[in-house]
Amino acid sequence: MSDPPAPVGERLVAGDERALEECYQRYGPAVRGYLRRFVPPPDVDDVLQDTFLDVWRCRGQLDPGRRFEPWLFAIARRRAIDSLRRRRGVVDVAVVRDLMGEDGDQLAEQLAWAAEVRAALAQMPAEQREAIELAYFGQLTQREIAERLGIPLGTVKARVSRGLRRLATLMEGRAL
Amino acid sequence: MTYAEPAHIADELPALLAGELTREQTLAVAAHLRRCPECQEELVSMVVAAGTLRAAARAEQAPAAWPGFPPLASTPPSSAPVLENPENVPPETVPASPDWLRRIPRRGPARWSPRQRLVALAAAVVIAAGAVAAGLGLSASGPPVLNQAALRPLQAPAGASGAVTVTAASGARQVQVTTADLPDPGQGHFYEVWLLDPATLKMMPMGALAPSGQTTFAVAAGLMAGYSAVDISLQANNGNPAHSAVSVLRGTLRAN
Ligand SMILES: [Zn+2]
Repeated sequence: MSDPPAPVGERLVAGDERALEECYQRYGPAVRGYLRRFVPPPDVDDVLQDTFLDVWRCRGQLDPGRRFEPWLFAIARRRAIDSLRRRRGVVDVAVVRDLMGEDGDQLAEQLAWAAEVRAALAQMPAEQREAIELAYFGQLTQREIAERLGIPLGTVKARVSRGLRRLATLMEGRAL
Repeated sequence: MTYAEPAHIADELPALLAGELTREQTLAVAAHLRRCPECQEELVSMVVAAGTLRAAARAEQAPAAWPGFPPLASTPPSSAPVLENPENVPPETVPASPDWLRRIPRRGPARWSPRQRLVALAAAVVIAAGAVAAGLGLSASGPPVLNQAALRPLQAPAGASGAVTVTAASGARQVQVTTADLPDPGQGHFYEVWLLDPATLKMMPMGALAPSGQTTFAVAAGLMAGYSAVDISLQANNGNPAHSAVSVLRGTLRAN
């Protein structure tokens, strides 16, 4: 089964410039969402830029046999820490601890997984993706989804069911 | 033909897991599941996928570590940030293809100025000298252990481990780092030990390290006092003296 998220890593290692842009388009929003939790708003886009600059610069360290997303979020976390360090005395020490400590590590790991899930959803047929996003990220019931999309409830059930089956296959096929 | 025997009930499973079925529907699905291995197999996929999606949604909705941020001294009050309400935050968006992104690849691999290389080399020489001195110091038996910590895997395989022991040595501190079962760093890469202060985010490079084995570094006692954690990173051997952002092991020393 084709699995574009892994090839992005492989193409980065190979020095493919388009892979960087693809990587940014796919993961940029998620990385930005992570950075916004810790980095003062005026600095967020600079740190985002530094993160993707590092992705390109350090691509030689990327092991294509391992998951790309945790590597990416570890770089983002490192960059967020650097940025808070530059603002020493302005940023609350508690924020710094949250980012540096185990909680910050775990959040980066969970968000890396969430980004992986979003990337897998992006590969699915649009109708399945839409139904799943409304159900699991939009907190709508299947009945509410049917009403919103103007389609029969049975159609929603079939789309969600097929989408979940496909998502399980995509996620279980990836490296631990 | 009876209601209890529709083809299979895989399409009902997401609604079952979300608690959206009626009592009768739930019981009918349960009865079918009990005797249908195919739908049981489907149930496993549905549980895994639904759990994955809930974990993703939970992570994305986790509140910010801090609601706002203290304005910079030079920032006029009018541009002070508003508090963010996690429930109302619109989906995160980024420009499709910003200028800076298209400029990155043309820069090619980062190059370091001769001065930066000299600084890195000088640091390496000092550390090597320290390591030799520490090695000699250790030949005396049983210096008092001042601090120790286990190094736990961050971006390393689960089996990888390490430990750090700090001992006193006539005004200096010997930091002995032991590692086991780190993977081979690969060609052009090496592991490096750092002292880290989580509170101020200060970092000090100590030197290179083998994937398995023991290395001792000497640090002035006063310097050592400013750090409370030990971090091991995977570095590219490209002359860049900065931390690579890939931490493989880390341990926190107890406060003295
Ligand atoms: Zn069945």
